[in-house]
Amino acid sequence: MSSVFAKLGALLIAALLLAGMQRFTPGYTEITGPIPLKGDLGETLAGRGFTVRADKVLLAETLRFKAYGREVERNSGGVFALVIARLEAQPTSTTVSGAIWLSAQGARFVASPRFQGAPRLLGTDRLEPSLPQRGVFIFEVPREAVAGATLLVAASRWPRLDTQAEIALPVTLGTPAPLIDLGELAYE
Amino acid sequence: MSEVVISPGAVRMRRLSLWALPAALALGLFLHAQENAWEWWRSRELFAREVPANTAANLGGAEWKLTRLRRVAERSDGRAVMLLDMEAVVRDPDMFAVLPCRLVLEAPDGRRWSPQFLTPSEVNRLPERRGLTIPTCTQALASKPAAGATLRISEGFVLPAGMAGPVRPVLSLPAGRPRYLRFQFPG
Repeated sequence: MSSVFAKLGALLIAALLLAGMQRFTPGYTEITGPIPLKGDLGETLAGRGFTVRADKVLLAETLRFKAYGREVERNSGGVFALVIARLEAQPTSTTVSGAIWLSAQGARFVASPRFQGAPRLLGTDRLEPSLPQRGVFIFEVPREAVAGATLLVAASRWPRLDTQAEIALPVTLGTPAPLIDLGELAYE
Repeated sequence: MSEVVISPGAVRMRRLSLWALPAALALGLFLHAQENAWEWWRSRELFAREVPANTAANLGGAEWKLTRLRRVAERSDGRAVMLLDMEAVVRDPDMFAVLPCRLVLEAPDGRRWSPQFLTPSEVNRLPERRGLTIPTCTQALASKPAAGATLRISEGFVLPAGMAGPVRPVLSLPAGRPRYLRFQFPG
C-alpha cells in the first residue's frame, strides 16, 4: 500500500516540476534578448561596444533648426522630448541607432525621423573610440507618455544578446517650452 | 508477481545504450551547430600575423604592403585626419574579390578606428593626389582585378589628435579569416 503512495507522490512531484518548468522557463526570445544595463540620468553606462550618459531632458511644443541652409520649424500634436546625451564607441568604431523612448505605460517610441539634417542629432553618425559625441535624441510622444519614461539606447532597435542601456528619466518634467532652437541648445 | 529475469546480454546492451547517449547527444549538437561554428570561425580575427616594415604579406588572394600612414590635417574640434596608403598585388582574383574588406587602425590598448569618408578639401590639398581617384579597400576588392594587377589603395581615418602611442593598420579579409595582418612601421 505504501509503495502505491510513494509512486503517486513521485508522479505528483514530477507533474509539479514539469508544470513549474513550463510556467517559469524563459522563452527563446527572452533568453536571446537585450542585455539590460540600468542607470540614471547623469550616470555613465559602459556597455558592450559603446558608453552612454544622458544628462538632461527637455520638452518642447515646437522645435526650430537649420538644415541644408534652410530654417525649419516642426510642431507636434503631442510634445517633443529631447534628451541631451553623450555617446562614445568602445573599443571599436560603431553605430548606435536604437534609441527608444519607453513610456511608463509600455509604449515604445523610436527617435523622430522629422529632424534629418538637424545639428548634433545622435544616432545618425558613426561613433569612434575616444571621440565622444555630445548631442540630442529627439522623440515625438503623446503628453501622457512623458511622465516616468525610460530611455533605451542600443546599437540596433531590437538588440539580440547585446547591451541595451535603460536610463530612468525623471518622473515629472514640467511644462513644455513653447519653442526650442536646436542651434542654441547648450550641449556641453 | 514473479521476478523478471534479464539476460546478461540485455544488461550489457542497456549499459552500452546508456553510455552511447552522451556521444549521440554530442554528435547531434555538433551536426546541428556545425554551420554556425564554421560561420563563427570564418568571421573572427583570431590569429594575427605581424608584418615587418617594408615587407609584403599574403592574405585573401593578394600580397599586401603598407606604403604610408600620415597625418594630413587637424580639425578645429581637435580631431586628426590620417591617410593610409597600401599596395596590393593580386595573386588569386576569385579569392581577392570576396567582400567586404576590414581595414582599421589599432591602438596598443585594443581600440580600433574604422575608415571614414573624408571631405575632398582634406584630401585634395595633397599635391600627389590632385586629379587622382584612389580606391578604398572595399572598392578595390569590388573592382575584380586580374591576376598580377597592382592596386593602390587608400583609406582615411579620424582619430583623437593627442593619441598616446602609435596606431597600426590591421587588415582582415573574408577569404583570409581567422588569420589577419597587423603591419609594423619602420623604426
